[in-house]
Amino acid sequence: MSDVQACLLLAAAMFSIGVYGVLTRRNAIGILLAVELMANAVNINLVAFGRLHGGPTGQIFALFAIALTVAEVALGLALVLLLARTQRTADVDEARLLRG
Amino acid sequence: MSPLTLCLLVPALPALAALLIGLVPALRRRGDLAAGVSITAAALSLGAALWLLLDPAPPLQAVARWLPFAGSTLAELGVRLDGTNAPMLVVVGLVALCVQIYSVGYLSDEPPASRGRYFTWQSLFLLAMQGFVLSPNLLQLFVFYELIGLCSYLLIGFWHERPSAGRAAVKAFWVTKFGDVGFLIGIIVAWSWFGTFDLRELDAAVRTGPLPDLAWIVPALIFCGVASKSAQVPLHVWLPDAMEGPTPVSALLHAATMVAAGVFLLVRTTFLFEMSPAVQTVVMYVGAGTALFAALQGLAQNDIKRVLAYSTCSQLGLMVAALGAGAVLSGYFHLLTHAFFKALLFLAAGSAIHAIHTNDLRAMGGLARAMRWTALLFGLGALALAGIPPLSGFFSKELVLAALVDHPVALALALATTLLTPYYMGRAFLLAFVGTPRSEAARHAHESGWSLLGPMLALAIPAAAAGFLLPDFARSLGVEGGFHFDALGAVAVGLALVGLGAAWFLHGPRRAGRADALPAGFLALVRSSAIDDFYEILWRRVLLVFSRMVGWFDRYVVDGMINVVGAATLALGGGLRRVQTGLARDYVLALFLGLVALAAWGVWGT
Repeated sequence: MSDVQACLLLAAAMFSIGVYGVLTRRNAIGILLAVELMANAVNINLVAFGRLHGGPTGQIFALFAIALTVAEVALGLALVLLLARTQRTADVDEARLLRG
Repeated sequence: MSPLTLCLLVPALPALAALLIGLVPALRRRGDLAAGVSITAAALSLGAALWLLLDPAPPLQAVARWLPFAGSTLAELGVRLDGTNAPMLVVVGLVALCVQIYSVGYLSDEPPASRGRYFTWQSLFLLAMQGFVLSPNLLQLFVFYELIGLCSYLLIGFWHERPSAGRAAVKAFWVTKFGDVGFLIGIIVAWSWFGTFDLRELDAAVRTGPLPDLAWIVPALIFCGVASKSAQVPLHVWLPDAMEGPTPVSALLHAATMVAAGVFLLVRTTFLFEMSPAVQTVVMYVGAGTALFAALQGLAQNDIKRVLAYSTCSQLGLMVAALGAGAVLSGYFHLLTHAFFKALLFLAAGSAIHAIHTNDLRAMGGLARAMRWTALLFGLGALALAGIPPLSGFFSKELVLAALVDHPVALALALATTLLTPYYMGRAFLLAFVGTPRSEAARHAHESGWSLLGPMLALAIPAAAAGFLLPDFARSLGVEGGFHFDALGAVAVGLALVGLGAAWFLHGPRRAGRADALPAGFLALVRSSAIDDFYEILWRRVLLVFSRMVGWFDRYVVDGMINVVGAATLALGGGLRRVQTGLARDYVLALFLGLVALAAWGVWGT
């Protein structure tokens, strides 16, 4: 098993754990963390493929993705804060304003 | 002033008066002020019309674009003045002015606001009629035709608190509207053939030909409009009921405006009728039949206004018959003389009604003693209507009879009418003005004031002497023809004298005001409302049943389909709303499954 294959397996495992986390977590912060796991799995993929092909492109993409993720987390946390303030809870199963 | 300015002033002045009275509440609520504005406008309008008649200009036509269509103009709005309509303008203006002045006295007991309303409609009516007479094209004729119908409806229903007046107004409106639908279709058919509404262009197109195969359709449809407005059998039913309006309104409607509009339309579109001799023959027989039928009805009426109403109907029949026979001069001249003496008769009858507050001839009697002038003027009008020389009716009736001389059946019908007319007019005169008073009110009758007598006197002059204007009128019309007293004329005068004699013999002073002298069976037959009943059955049993069927279809089939679509949409929405759980993880799951599906499609699908 080459290095790249090992990295891809790791990324796939992290992504699946992230998906599982998003689907099962009830706490909004937990969901955010799971989303973070998924994003970082993608980053690992980028770096791994970058190494396979040679050149800096994959790493540059990964750096950009990390910067964007920071912004996303800041936004996500702000939303969670608002949710907690208006609904008095951080449990997403309790916040069902969109139910038809 | 230029002829065009005068031409525009004739309808514009009453229009201005109607707007002014209608829109300025202070004016409308003061009945006298409203009357003043309306009468001033009518008088100035008549002055303009007189100027145009006495100072004849070459025929003029001025139009403005009205409906733009495909780069050119579909319809135009304007005025057209020639020798044909110039005399009509004056007659309409004169009768309308007299009627308006008369109304001031006649309606003096009405509340001021009602009088304001009355004079608004009167001015509007004058505008409608003058606009109609001046119309240069079929479409404008139709528009003003409808406006005339509307004004008649408003004036017949002037006493709208009376249910019978409301019904009469609606009846007049619907019956005339029924015929007008035919008129409108006729206009559209004519346009589809010739591509124009303009009378001059239509005239040229018809003369140069070639004519379409079904050319008779257009005059036949236009005659529908004529028959309903001019009360030809079987569309005459609205006219006797229209007596529910105030008497001056009846005078206006039955002399120079409403019913005259139909005959004038026939005069204006003569060239269309000449396309089809068959339709002309039908027109002639409908007219002659109406003349006799209405005269027979007139024999049995005990309401003085209904006697006059049926006589109007009968005389309109004579005019239509003459026009059907192709004699424009005869029919048109009878229209003009009839306008004068019929307006006079109605105003005189109104004077009597105003004095004793009833229309019933059986409650009158001996009114001549107190009301000399009224009796004299009514008598004059009646003799003119009877066709006694040298009054105006004599000349025009002779012309009508001369026009029918080649058609024995129509001539016989017209001669029978000539015999009956003097009888029922004589009967009405004798019952109302001769003998002894037959009611308390009639005993205390008194002569009407000058507001009523003045207009009557003004109308009496042309009613007596208009016959002598025949040569001028023929010249204005540009028609060969004149008056020749021949054997037929002598027979007609003889018949008129026989009719008057019969009236004297059957209802004279020695008979002490007997109202019914004819066989009871005949009177019962004539007074029966068979035609009205027939229309009512038609309406109730056929039209209403059909309407209910259409209503059922609409409610349960058409609406049903719409409702099914609506209900299905609602049910679908109700089912789909369950998908929206509001749980974030369900959405993420859907997103994930969608992603998997897309990936699967990407790998195996393509």
